[in-house]
Amino acid sequence: MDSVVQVLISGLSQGSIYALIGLGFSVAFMASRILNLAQGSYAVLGGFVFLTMVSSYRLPMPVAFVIALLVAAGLGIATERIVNLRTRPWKPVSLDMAILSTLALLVLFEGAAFLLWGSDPKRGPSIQNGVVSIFGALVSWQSIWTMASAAVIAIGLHVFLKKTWVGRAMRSCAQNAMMSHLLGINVRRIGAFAFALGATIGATAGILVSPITWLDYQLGGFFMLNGILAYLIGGEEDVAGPIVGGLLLGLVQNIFLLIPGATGGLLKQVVPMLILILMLVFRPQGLLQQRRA
Amino acid sequence: MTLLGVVNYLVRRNAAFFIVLPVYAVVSSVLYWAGWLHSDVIVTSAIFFIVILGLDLLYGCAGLLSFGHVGFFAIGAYSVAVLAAQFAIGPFESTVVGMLINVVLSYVLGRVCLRLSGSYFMLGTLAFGIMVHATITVAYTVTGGDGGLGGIPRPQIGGVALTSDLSFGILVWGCAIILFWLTYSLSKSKVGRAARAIRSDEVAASCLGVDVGRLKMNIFIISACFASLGGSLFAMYNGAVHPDSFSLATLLDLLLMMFFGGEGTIWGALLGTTFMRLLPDITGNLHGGKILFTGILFTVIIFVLPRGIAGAIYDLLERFKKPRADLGKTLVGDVPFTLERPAATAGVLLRLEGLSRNFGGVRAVDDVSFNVRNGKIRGLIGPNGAGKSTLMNLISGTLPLNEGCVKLEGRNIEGLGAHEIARQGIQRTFQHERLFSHLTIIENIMVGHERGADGSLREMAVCALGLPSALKSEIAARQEAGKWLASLALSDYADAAIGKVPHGLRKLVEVARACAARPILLLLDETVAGLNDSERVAFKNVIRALRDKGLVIVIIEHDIDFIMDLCDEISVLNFGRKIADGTPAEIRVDSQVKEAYLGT
Repeated sequence: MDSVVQVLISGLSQGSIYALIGLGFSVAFMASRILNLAQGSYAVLGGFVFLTMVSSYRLPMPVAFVIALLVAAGLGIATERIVNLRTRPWKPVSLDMAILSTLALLVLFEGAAFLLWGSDPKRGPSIQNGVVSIFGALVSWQSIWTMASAAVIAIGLHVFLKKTWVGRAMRSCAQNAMMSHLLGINVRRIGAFAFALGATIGATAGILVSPITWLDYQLGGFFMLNGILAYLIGGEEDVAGPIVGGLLLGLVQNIFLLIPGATGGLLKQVVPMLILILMLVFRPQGLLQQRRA
Repeated sequence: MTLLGVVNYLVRRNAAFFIVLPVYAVVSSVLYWAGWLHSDVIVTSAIFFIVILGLDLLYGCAGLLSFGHVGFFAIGAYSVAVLAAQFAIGPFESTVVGMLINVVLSYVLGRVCLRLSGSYFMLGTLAFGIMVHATITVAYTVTGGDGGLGGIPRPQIGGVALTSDLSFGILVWGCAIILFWLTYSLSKSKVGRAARAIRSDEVAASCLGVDVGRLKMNIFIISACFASLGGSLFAMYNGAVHPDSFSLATLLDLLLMMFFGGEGTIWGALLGTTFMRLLPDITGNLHGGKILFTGILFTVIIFVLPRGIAGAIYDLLERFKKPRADLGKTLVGDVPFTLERPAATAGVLLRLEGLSRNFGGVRAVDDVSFNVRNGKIRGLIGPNGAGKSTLMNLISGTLPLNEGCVKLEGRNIEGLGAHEIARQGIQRTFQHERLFSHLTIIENIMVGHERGADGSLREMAVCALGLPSALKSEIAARQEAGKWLASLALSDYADAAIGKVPHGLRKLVEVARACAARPILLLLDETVAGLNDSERVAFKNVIRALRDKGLVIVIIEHDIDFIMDLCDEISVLNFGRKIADGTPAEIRVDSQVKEAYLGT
């Protein structure tokens, strides 16, 4: 019983990370229709910046957090600018080019992280140390912070997209960029804003996860895949999709650990990919979305 | 066609092969003697060249960007390594085994991913690549895991093991050059043309008779085999395999090779691979900076040389070409249409019975029936949203119908795929012209020749090997397309990109493309929308000329005067229902039609 609760909670906490990365991905995808493969890199770089600020420069955590978010936002805007270097609102970037340039950026960020922080995994500072007992299972405060942050960010994002002008503008760009442009919305600025927002959400995920999984320069691709997976499982719903998908993915990955003799490596890498392929076969539109007529 | 003519044609068509390969050989031998090029670079370049040939056939021609080829590459390599270590099976046999495994896997993966659009195809193949890498790492009892697997013997030919770089290099380059020739011929043949057509516009390609699904699948499998062969040779050359050679970084290297060389050119792959294999020598002292450097290089190449070195060379050559004659001075001469055979049934050619189609709750086409008779032009008019274009999509098979049947010459054709209907002799144009942007103007017209490409492996083999039948049909297609261009006064623009031609002429090229496929029934969807008066007159003449040569035509048009003047019979649709049917004179006085157009 204890182990079941334990597994469920660690699944939810891991799933919250995937959900956050998926949310960041979803925000950028929604406003620009660009599948941003560099999304995982913001988590890695954001986590590394936070870690350096806290451990090397001895800055207080909130300050370090803000700096990390600003760096991530800058990277997000840079990504958007690079991908759209040659495009105009009436001539959007082609799908292949967008994916290729974000793939190139993923490698570029990976190389930068390697040069700046080396190849050894590093453990980031926890927001709050210690554990608490819930139904007999030991849960670290860090996991609780992670789940709470995911919930708060999701609700905040939902309100932002539905109630504010910028949120509505982002949704209109998602539906028809050219028409939005003609209606006086600065499509490029909205796109840059969406990428910045997505990157900061990704960086938050990186900061939260760094004390649990440790950070190394190669994690960008792993984060990205799981984020996309969360998004795909949930379906093309702006906020609810990645949250549901991410939590489900975290739970599935952890529930397999209950099977005796299951090896971690296989689960961590093969099972998510298998889920992705199965999703693409049976429900390419995601769990929440209705099948289109 | 004389033998000399055929040789001349082959040399001209495969000019890049005969220029690039000798130049490459000379330059690389000079560099080798000067000590700048190691034998290792020369051999591995050939190995990766084979992989990129397949990748470029898949992306450069068919427009499918696969991130999973690193997986096929790994399986090719590991089947040689594992079979040698566990069962002492020789490298040639295990290469074949690896290829068979990859054929099965690529078929299954293709079934899953090829029906997905753009980015989802990439994601699905990416997932496959990562799964292969992860499985290799995890299944360490068989594959050696992170430690890798060694002891792979070099292959033997006639009892002599190819242990030296020279002897192995000859084997590898032999394979590479043969595959280069085959791939290059294939990309220049009707199969390559059909693949590029698919890349530009799948719907239009299938309406010209190209079996899109089968062609994509077979090209995917072939390119997986290329990757597998490359992997096997890679394993034999190194004598050992290690999972790091098949990681995401390798995927990026492969893509970089293709894009730096120039996608879609096939021969660009040669430059791309050699450059990438040279890179470690150039960046030797960068160490940790190598990943960063690759990332920057990739980003820069995508923006500065979006079509790679080969593309840049083509752009340069384009500048030295003599300027072309002005466009559109004399619009249409004679129409070189020939009816392939007279209609099999007298009287009615096409019979529609109770056609219906729903979109959700909307009944876009509701129980429409009419006949199209031989030797006639049938007009189809109605207010916006009346279901005219939908009806045309139902006839041509681009949309499945819900109820009713369509009979061409008495045979039922409803429920067939668009390419099958095209093969029965129905061709169409589109409301917004859908020419293939990845093809030149003459190639656009050639796509439909002999009813497109069926995408079978047999057809691909015939085209790649350049068998006489393929050459004959190729030359015939070019001659026929040339006649069409001459009649449109576009001969000077035969090899120009489609974007160089103005809207009105593009619409005419689209009609020529459909007619060059020698249909028995032509469907025209809003042909003259957006054209000026003189272009409309030209169009009217073309359509009449086609009818006089025996082609049956159904035309949708909003310009009532145009329709009344041109058509022999007219059907009127409103809200998905047919409200009137008759000669122009009858339609003109029909009260229901007046009501539909004028409201009361």
